[in-house]
Amino acid sequence: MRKEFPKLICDANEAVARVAHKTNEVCAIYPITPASPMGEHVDVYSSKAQTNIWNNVPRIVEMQSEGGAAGAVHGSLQAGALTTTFTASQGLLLMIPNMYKIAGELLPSVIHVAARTIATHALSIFGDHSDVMAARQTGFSMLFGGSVQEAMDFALISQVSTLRSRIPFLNIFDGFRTSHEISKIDAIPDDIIKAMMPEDRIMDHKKRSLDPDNPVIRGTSQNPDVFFQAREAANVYYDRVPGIVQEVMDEFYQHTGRDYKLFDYVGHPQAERLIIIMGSGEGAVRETVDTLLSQGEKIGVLIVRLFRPFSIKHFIDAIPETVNSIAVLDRTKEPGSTGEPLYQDVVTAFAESARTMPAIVGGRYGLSSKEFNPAMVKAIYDELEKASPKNHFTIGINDDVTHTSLLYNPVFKTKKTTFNCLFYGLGSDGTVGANKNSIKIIGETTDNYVQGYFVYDSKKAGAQTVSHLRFGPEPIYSSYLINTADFIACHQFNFIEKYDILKKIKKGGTFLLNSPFSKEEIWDQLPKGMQEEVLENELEFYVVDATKVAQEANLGKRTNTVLQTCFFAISGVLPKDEAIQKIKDAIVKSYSHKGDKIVKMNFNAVDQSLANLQKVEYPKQITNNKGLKPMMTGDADPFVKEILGKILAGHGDELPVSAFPVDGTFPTGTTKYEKRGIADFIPIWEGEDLCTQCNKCVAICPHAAIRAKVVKNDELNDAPGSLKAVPAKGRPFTSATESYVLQVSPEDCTGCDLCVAVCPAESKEIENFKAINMRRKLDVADVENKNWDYFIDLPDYDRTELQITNVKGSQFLEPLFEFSGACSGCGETPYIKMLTQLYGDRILIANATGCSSIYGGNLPTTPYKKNALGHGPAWANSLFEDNAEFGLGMRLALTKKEEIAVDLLKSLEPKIGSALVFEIINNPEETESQKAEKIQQIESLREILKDMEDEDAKKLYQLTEYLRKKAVWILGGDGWAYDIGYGGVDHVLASGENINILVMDTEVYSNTGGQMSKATPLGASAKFAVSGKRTSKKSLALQAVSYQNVYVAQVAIGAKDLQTLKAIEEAAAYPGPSIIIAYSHCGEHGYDLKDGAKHQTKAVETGYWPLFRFDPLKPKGKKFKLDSKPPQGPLKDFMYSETRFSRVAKENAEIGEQLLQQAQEEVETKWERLELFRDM
Amino acid sequence: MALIITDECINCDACISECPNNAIYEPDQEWSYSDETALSGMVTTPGGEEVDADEEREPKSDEFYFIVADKCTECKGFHDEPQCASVCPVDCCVPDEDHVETEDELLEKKAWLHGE
Repeated sequence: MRKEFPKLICDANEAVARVAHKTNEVCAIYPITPASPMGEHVDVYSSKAQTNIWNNVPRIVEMQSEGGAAGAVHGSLQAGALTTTFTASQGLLLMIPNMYKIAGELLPSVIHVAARTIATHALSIFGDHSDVMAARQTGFSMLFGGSVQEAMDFALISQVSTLRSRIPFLNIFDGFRTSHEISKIDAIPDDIIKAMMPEDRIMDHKKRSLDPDNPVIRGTSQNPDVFFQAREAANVYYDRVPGIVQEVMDEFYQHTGRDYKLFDYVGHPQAERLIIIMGSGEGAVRETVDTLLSQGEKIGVLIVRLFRPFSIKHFIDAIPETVNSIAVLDRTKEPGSTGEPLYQDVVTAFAESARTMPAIVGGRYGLSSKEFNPAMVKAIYDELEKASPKNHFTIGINDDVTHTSLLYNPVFKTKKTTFNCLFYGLGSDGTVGANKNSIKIIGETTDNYVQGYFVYDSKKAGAQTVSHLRFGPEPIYSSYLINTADFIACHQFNFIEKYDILKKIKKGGTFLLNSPFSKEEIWDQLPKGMQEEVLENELEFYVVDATKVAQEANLGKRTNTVLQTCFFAISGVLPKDEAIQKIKDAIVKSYSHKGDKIVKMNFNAVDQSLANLQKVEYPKQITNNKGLKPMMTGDADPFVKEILGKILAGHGDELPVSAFPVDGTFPTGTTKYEKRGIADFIPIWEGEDLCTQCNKCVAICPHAAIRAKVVKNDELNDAPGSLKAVPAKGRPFTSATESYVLQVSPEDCTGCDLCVAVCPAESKEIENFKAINMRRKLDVADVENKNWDYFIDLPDYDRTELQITNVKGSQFLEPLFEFSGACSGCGETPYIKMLTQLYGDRILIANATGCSSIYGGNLPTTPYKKNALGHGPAWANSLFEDNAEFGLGMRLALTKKEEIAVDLLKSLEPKIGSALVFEIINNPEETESQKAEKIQQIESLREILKDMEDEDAKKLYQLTEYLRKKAVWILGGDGWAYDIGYGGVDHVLASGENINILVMDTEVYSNTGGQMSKATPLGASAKFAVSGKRTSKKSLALQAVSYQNVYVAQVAIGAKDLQTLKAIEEAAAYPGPSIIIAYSHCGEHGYDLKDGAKHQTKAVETGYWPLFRFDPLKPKGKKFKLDSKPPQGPLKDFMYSETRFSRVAKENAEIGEQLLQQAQEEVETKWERLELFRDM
Repeated sequence: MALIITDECINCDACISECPNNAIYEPDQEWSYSDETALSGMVTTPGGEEVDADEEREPKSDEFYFIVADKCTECKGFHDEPQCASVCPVDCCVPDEDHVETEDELLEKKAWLHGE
């Protein structure tokens, strides 16, 4: 019988971290999605001096990579501490070499894994078992949990089992589906943990440790005579594991009443058809089995808990003898194998057992968190009824190429009756936070079980979020998305024009819309499809103008309190009055420390929300013919329109296998077709006479959404009357005949306000009026969209004429990186944009995994694009850790290609003509004119080669693009360059090869959510260093300078854009390795990013971020150039304007003061050191 | 007197093409007396210094646009007022108190620069 325990409402990462922290002494960590929160939790616990069960605070150490974390774990285990780590995906792969060692030396430890897809043709942060299956040969035991409760329970069971067996364990649960699912579970009280942890075995472990008091030697080198035997010597330890794990599970049952078996069977005692599965998929299968059993079907499911060592005896014993047909489901793919791992094990197990072999088929499901639901499970059971069920099938996709997929009927539903709610919101609008809060309120204050799962798209800004919430009196195992909702809320009004929001609504369900239109006006605003759904399902339909209520209640843009109140008022999940009282209680709890005023303000917001909530009495007829807005605009080619367009509209799941490139290759330049329109306010060029035409706004724009052009006046003859233009100022323009036009793309602008903040042209007459000002998009979008459409087709100015050595001139160049998915106000993208303006038509980009690989290469649409000639950046992402090497490889190939083409060209010289050959070979392609000439020269060459019969000529005709000079740019963030990829960066810099590295330094792991890196400065709070980093940032730049043959620049575009421009130009021109370290403001720094440039300026002025360039080609004494002035003003002015620093002092004033002082001293010594370089 | 560009300069590039004497340079740009003037070889500056007109000289600023005082005539002989000051959006082209000159001196400088 299950026992009652205090309840926890949390996700598996938190649940597992609690147990890991209680049962270990050392945690070596490194961030990787979706496992990072485990490391973050244990760091927070230890920073708050929370202890393990031995009243000792575990030591948390962040390493430079998962390889490093595994090494530290290994060492710590050898030296006798109880040690753990947390990881996923590539991170686990990097641990593999050490995992062999740890297992080979029988070191008891647990690695907790939020299982995630391994990158192949593409990266995916989502969940499947491809990572853990790649580690199944290491000698680790593998225990799979399928729910939040199981993940936590198995964290303890694996910890105890490893100590008792000496075999190390992987405690595995599914990334996102389990790691990020919020669930109400039973806690494991400390006394149970204490009772189960085998103190004698812990002492054995400690006694075995390396110690000079009792010295031994391990890790010897062995030879053919003995290695083999010694390897077999540990067999008995593996033989014991299944028995031990079952004993521990039984003991756990005694304490908690929660019953687990190595192989848990659920189903008919005389089942004929069986599914075998591991991980979160068990939830969907169990629910389906419940339903089908009640319909009298003879089926069952075997849930594999202990996958390694695989106990054939326990396995066979768990399966009813009546079973004659089995489907084994693997959440991974092994191309070229005879079947996926679990399938192979099952087949082998039957072959080796005395049991008659049933029909066994293997199937793949759920790769990269692909939905796996009861309808699919039903289809598999149906398939097993056939005389010869399909083997090696797939489920959940449509494989129209090799026809592996099973058909399923999505209409099938289980009899499970939870109360289901869906919420549509935007990444930054507070919807997810409010839902997590609602789950807590309902879970903590009622007997209801709760489940929350949050689906994000991976855009960095303006991502859609869909929250799936279930409530019910029984524990909830539904490990799949809600397919029928009792309640749907749409928190973003514009979604109703884009998505089929009500697709999953139940008949008689409730729909809440955040709407600027009242109950009388709203009906006619709904698209036709939505009206039909409301009518057909006889919905209870409510509207509330949450934006207005929030503003009037002084909550600003935070509409979540309003919408949450409305949810409680109308959803019926709790009685209304009780629910409202609970919200108010929660407000008191959250805000009472901030004072009565804040509490009252929120109370008022609750009351106002109720007062403004309106039930819509809709007419019983369709009054609108409008369909959904197309997700793509413009004249995209069919692939873009049909394939990418479908993904964009949220129908990617419906695309068949045949729709996809076989090797992960996609066309570039597709963001322009996607009109996201996420800004509420956009910059408008109103003070055109005030405008200095300096183009600073263009340079700082993270999304290339505001642009300037100079065109001949007659180009504007047909322009819309609303398109503004003024006589063009400055070189090389003729103001009488040429006009300057500045224009924003309303649908691509994210409304970050950076452009207005940097605009120097402020009116002396009108207060707060600049050449550009932010205006409400609703009022100006129609006009500005027309303007943009005309503007974007205007010709770009001749590159060869422009003064591209200054910022203004460079910003007339066409950006070949536009409308990326980067955050609003991103500090990284302006650098990339400038790079592509200058050299985009001739660069290969090797991009380290991180923010820049996500906004740079996240499907469906990508921001790198081609110019009119069809030239543009060619981009690829390999991994996180290998990017510098990846880029170097590209360089080697480029050089080889150039060599081949030039050799051919030279050999054909007599036929082609010496003059042209000479021109081509000796064109240095330094200036824009020379580059343009080169393109012409190659064209001439092609004309000549075209009709030549010579074999070499034919070959050269195919390879003429090799003759244009190309460059490699290696891009990434500080996590890559300072930490995980540092060895590679260092090696590539030392190679002397002509490569360029651009490090966009946000001083923190931005992509995984803000963990400390070696670029994180002294005194900053980051995840893994919440109480402030105690060590200094390393100077990657000065390390590179020490090579003496590397071009090095440290830049900050917001502080000194010209220096950035020069650095990029000099790095590109430098014939050897170059590295630019670019200060990149980031949301993780904790302030409104519209002030990003201001903060950069302050960082430079206070000496926090000195600017300099080191050019080995310059004469002695002039190589090192300090581009910023000596530190001025207190560093405090800069540091305490950012939450990352001020948070530390807030938490602990004394430590804050101490770190500040230390940082101030460091600024001074850093400057003194830089001054020494001046003589170089 | 010659003009000077103060540190309020926003590097907008408006002034540079207005200068009739080619006295204005981009930040960090090397300059010479001979750039777009009639000067070449060894010449004597208005200040009486012997210089090589063709020699590339150190930038006077690496941060902002700068004016070479020896080449600035306040636009005397070309325009009624200094053109850089008239186009500067932030009014940072101002008289250089360290280089006070009379109108005659300025006109003489213009003649020297342009070989008149």
